[in-house]
Amino acid sequence: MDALVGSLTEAVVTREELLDAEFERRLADCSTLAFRVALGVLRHREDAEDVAQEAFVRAYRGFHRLRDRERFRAWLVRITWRLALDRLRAAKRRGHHEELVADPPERPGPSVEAATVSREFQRHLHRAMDELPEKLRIVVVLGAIEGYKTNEMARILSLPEGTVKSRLHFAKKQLAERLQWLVQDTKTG
Amino acid sequence: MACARYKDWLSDAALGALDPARDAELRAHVAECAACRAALEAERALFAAIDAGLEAGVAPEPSPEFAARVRMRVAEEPPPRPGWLTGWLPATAAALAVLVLLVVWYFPHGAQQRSPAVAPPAVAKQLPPLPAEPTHVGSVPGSRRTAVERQVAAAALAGGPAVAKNEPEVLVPPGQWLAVSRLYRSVQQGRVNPESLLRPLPEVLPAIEDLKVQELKIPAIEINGHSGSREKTEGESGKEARN
Repeated sequence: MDALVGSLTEAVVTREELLDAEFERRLADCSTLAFRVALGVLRHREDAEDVAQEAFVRAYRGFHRLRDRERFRAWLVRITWRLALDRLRAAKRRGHHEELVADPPERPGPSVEAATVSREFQRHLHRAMDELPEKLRIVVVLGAIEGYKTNEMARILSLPEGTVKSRLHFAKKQLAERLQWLVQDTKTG
Repeated sequence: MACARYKDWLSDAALGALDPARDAELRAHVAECAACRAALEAERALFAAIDAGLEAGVAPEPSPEFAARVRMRVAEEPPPRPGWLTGWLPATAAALAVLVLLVVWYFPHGAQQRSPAVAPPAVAKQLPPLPAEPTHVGSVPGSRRTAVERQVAAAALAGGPAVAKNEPEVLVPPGQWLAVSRLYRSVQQGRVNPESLLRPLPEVLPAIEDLKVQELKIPAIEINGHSGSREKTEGESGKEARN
């Protein structure tokens, strides 16, 4: 009986060790991804690190239940995304997020290049991003992180590649419409 | 104005998502129209700026301490248990343990507690020749009792013979119900023809006379030891007689 309990305990410990080792590999692979997803929503470095850490802890709690380990990246992205949105909403309720988004836009300089390099353009872009529906916003953030590789984004989001492409296209057009006033001077009439 | 026709195509063209036929037409137009060429370039620059801004927004790497902090937080967590240790296996093991306990508890007692009405064939095999009927069930200490006797004794302790719920209860004089229960079992097993137990009715029924009720006579009550009152009673009786 003792031998049976001993072998069972040994098997459990071995399995736990294997899980820990595998989780360690996932942590090394996906740290940047989780952090950037959180940063894409929060645009605040410390908050993004907090959220990414929390996402990893939650992923660890459920790691042994994840049957398809190849889905870990997608799973982690979804956890991080939800946590980041929750954090953003909480910050907005407290009024804290007002410091992170832009004030009412000012007229930019005459050239697009000048606007691109300016911090103001970045602020306006963030504001336009915040106005996007969630399903478009995550595509834009992931596209920026993954270099707009739609096949990888489709795998992470569990969506058909065509859907990802059309959402990305639609999201960018919406962003462009919201930011078009920045380049109004150079546009045709 | 030809330019108005191309205005809505510019953003799709800048994103590289314009229909090939339209794209060719737009290219031909912007080759000749400086304003539309400038507008298309502005659209392309805008999308490039958006992409650059988006990429810049998510470009930072996490701090070097990030992984160490995650490890610290994970170390505070209880170790993850494999699914089979937290899922159906413990529940199944607990259910099996309860089942084994129930079986172990039931079988040493179960055979003795079974009602004869529930399992008559098993009882029938154990039926011994009829012993002398005890005066009452509790008066056979030390003797080796049969299963039927134990059942009867248990039934007696419980207040009467064990009768299945779907069978009629019969009132039996004290000291006779062991025999009656055996007779009942014999009838159930077909060893006794129940019709043979019935006395045949006479062919001609006797006439039944009317019921007569005799007058009830109640003698007077005599009370000794209270002379005064008795004398008074006698005197009063004499007066009444004289009157």
